[in-house]
Amino acid sequence: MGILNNSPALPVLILLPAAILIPLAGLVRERLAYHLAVLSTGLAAAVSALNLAKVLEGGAIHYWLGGWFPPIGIEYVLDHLSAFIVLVVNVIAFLVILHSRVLVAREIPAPGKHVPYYAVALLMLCGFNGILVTGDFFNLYVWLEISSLALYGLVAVGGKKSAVAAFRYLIMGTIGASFYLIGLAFLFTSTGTLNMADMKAVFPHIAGQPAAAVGLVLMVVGFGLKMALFPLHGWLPDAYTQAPSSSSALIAPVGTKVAAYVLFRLLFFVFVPEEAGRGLPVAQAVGWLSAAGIIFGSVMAIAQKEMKRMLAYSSIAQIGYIGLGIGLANSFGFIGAVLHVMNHAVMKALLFLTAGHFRMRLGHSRIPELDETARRRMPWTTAAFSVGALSMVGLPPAVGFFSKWYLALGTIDRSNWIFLGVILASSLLNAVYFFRVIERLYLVKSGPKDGESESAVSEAPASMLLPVLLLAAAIIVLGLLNAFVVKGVLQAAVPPGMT
Amino acid sequence: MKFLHAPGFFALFGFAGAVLLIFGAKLLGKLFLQKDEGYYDR
Amino acid sequence: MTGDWGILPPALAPFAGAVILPLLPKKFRSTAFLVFTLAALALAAAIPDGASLAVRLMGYELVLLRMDALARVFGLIFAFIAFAGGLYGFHLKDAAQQAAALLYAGSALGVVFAGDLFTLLVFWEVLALASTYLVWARRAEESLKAGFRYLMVHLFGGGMLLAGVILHAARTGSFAVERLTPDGGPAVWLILAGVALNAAVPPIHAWLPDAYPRATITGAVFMSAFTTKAAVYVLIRVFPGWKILLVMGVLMTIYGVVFAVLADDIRRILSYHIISQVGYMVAGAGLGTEMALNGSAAHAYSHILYKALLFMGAGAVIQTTGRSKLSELGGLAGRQKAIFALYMIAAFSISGAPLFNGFISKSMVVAAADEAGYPAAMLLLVLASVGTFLSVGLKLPYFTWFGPKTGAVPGARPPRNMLLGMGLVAALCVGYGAAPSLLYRILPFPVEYRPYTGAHLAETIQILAFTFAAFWLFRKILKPKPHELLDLDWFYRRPAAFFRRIFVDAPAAVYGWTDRLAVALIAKAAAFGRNPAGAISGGGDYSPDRYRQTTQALILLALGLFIVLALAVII
Repeated sequence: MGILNNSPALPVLILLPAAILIPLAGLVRERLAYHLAVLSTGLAAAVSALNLAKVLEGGAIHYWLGGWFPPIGIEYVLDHLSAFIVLVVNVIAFLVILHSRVLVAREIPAPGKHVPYYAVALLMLCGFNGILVTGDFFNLYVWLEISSLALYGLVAVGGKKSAVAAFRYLIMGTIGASFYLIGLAFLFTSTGTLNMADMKAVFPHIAGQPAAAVGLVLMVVGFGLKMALFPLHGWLPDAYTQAPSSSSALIAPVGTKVAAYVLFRLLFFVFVPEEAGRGLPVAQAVGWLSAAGIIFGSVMAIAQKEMKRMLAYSSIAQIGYIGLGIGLANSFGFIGAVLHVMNHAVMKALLFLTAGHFRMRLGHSRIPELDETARRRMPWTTAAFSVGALSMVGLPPAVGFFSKWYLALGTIDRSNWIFLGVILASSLLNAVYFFRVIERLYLVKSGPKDGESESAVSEAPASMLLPVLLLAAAIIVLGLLNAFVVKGVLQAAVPPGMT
Repeated sequence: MKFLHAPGFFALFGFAGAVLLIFGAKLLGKLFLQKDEGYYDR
Repeated sequence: MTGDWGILPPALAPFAGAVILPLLPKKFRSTAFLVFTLAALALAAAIPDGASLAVRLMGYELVLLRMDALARVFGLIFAFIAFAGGLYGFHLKDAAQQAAALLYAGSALGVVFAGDLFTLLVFWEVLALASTYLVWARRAEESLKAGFRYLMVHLFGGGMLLAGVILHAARTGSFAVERLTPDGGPAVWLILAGVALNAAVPPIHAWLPDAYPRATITGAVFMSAFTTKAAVYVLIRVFPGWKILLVMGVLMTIYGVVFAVLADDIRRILSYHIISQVGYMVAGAGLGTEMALNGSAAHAYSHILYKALLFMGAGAVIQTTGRSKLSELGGLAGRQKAIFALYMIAAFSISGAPLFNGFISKSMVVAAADEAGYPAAMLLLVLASVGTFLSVGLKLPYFTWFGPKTGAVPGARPPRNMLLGMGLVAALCVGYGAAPSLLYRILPFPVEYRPYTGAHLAETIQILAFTFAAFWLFRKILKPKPHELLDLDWFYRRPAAFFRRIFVDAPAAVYGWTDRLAVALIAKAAAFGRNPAGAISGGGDYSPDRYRQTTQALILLALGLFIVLALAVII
């Protein structure tokens, strides 16, 4: 079909109109908003899958908006890396949106906000898709702004505390975006182009200039902040904790990964690290900061008493793994990092969704107050949570083990024993905070007075269980099949020239 | 090692060994190893 | 996949059982447990030597099954003891415990039959997880804590093993489970460290006497068999002849008995004994001669049998009296004849009495040490035997079933299946003891050792008799009082609260403090921004009248200055 020639842009072209249509549909009947959201994300996911298949078969796909070629026109590119991440983002988004109906109804009290919620969510996803496929740096900024503003809205909708958390996120996020823009300005004046492929060609000629170095560093810092790279992670704990459960489940698996993707592009595909800014060790710096972030995130997660906050700090640590892979800058590290993009997306979506289940049925997600009641009355949710937890700790054959495996191979390749130690130590730290929860869920007897309230607790409805169980199954299945993922997709995604 | 095959060697060894173990263990216990219950909970 | 399709790894049966059993109706579960373990036993017995099952994954070849004599010996006894344990625990109504026990047994089988290190690693991790549940399932406060420590220690060991395996694979390109030599770089030492932790080699052994006495009654029976012996298997297979193992093994045997003499809880005494007996196996692996390796494997086989029986007996005492400390037991013999008798069979076995299976296996290691030219090691091993008889064969039974009464009263009789399970194992202890060739023919190397010689009999009887004499003379000194027995885990248990404060609470507090500071600064800045003049002149609401005159004056002044300057320029 002719339309498939435009395929890199298709997910965007599906989600954007859907986002605009939703408020209109919501005027007719409120329920339509949810259905339209599910339909469009599902369609986007399906298209992403087809796109990945096309890329695997025939190599990268290029699409020029309006038929105008660079450097004036905006180019969209789907190569192995972006096609893979687009698929992950869209599938996770589909599952979370599918799940969201009951949680949104429960956690967002004002009924008038449900319809705009879905519209804003789709806008955010549209923005993410745009970031992932664009081949133009300024277009990336446009999508960044769209997705960020939508994201702040998604966080703020929960209530007073959410609004404050969203406001902090807004301030910090805007600073990050501004850094990116300023850095881009430097690079634009140095190279005269905004197109990524063009810049890659021109950059070696200007590599020695201070403007180029500063520009690159600013761009990396800007997206590092969006990625929650330590120590620029300050917005994350509050934002993830205070946002309604559906929003957390949508943002946490996906948002930071998109930012990580941009760092992949910047540091490995467009600017080769050694060249950029006369050998500025940008990638290595990202690696070391990530190592610190892994330890920091894990330790802080142990100190938490509330599950969502624990998961938020855990996310900081998990992003650290991706940053560690960037820092290693070898093919094992790259594969490990990209694999972890997928793994963490699946695991965190599962964990935030199950936390939402607990919140909904138990009325809270405070860890010291959890006990057997949760497991006995909500067995499926607890089982799914346990699968996610075991995967986070890194126990085979769950998918979480394999990203650590590749990252470990990458550290050995570089003889970076400190990074290897950090990876192994973090497994232990992860075990501490996850097994604490599992222990309470499986073994702590419920008190006698909980007898009456216990019967009020029941398992989550099927519409919520289905996506959760699918994610749990994916953790095992993707783990067993990870060889196919690595061999089939990721190895082809490794940037040229990387050993 | 001729003395190993001497008659009664192992009888002596058994008795002496047992005594050594009993008193040696008790000594170690008194010196550092035995503490009151609840030692770790303080 | 290569290899015969008709071959199923024995680990498959208990793993399938772990999945299926919880779905079955309650009354079929315990029987199903027996069925699955029997199936594993049948597979371990029936698969021919040399059979293998390999899968290609991630560019490496993973060998899920590799059958040979050494693996078979361990596989057979693991499957059997799982069966016997299932019989002993037939009365259990806890599907989670039963599933965990099946996973535990299955992963031990998986480790033993694994032909490559990655498969071994995967099963190693499941081994740790499944056994942790058996500790937690007791549900006492101290069991929950001990289980957590156990899990952390084993994840740490697993991490060392993982690091070693990755390094080794990166260096040599091979994942094969094969003999390694000490010059293999840090990789092989990391692997050794990980395996040694599971074998409870001091100084990383304290998890065993910490967790085993706090596990469930049936859980402890399983735990006494699998974790340590799976590690022993790996030592025999991968590290034979490493002299450090000889040294550590001999030290372990003494270390274990010294603590066993002191310990009060009956299962703690038995736990320290595991360390002691495993020392024989470790030393045998370290000696590396065919006779020593045979002895190590034979002793593992025998040990699994009599140790399980010892734990079964202790478990029965705890089940019927509700007490587990020697200082709280005594004088039960009249009421518990069966338990006592079965226990003593195991006690004689562990002490190496003739006609019991310890006699035919432990002495093989001792003789191997003598033959290989290590008389000092040999004597120390014999000394450990003395200690073993002293603590497990004399002190424990005396203060449990004889000696002064302390008010412990056995409640109901133990369920019949417990006695049946114990009886089954006891029968094997005696059977192998009387007919050693039954065990010798399945050992990996040809056996020339003859246990029933005049010299050996004389030696053993002398040792047993005179140890008894010493015990009887000094039995009052041995009487245990309740106490906490410190071990090397003091180093991480005592400072635990302290470390938690430094590494966990402090960063959280610092972070919270900087957060509050930042917010306060911003609040001040915001206030300033709203009313800069007010902030400078000391607060108070903004009111236009306050600054009216000043502003008017300033404007007039500026205007005046402008007019003056303009005139100056024009003129």
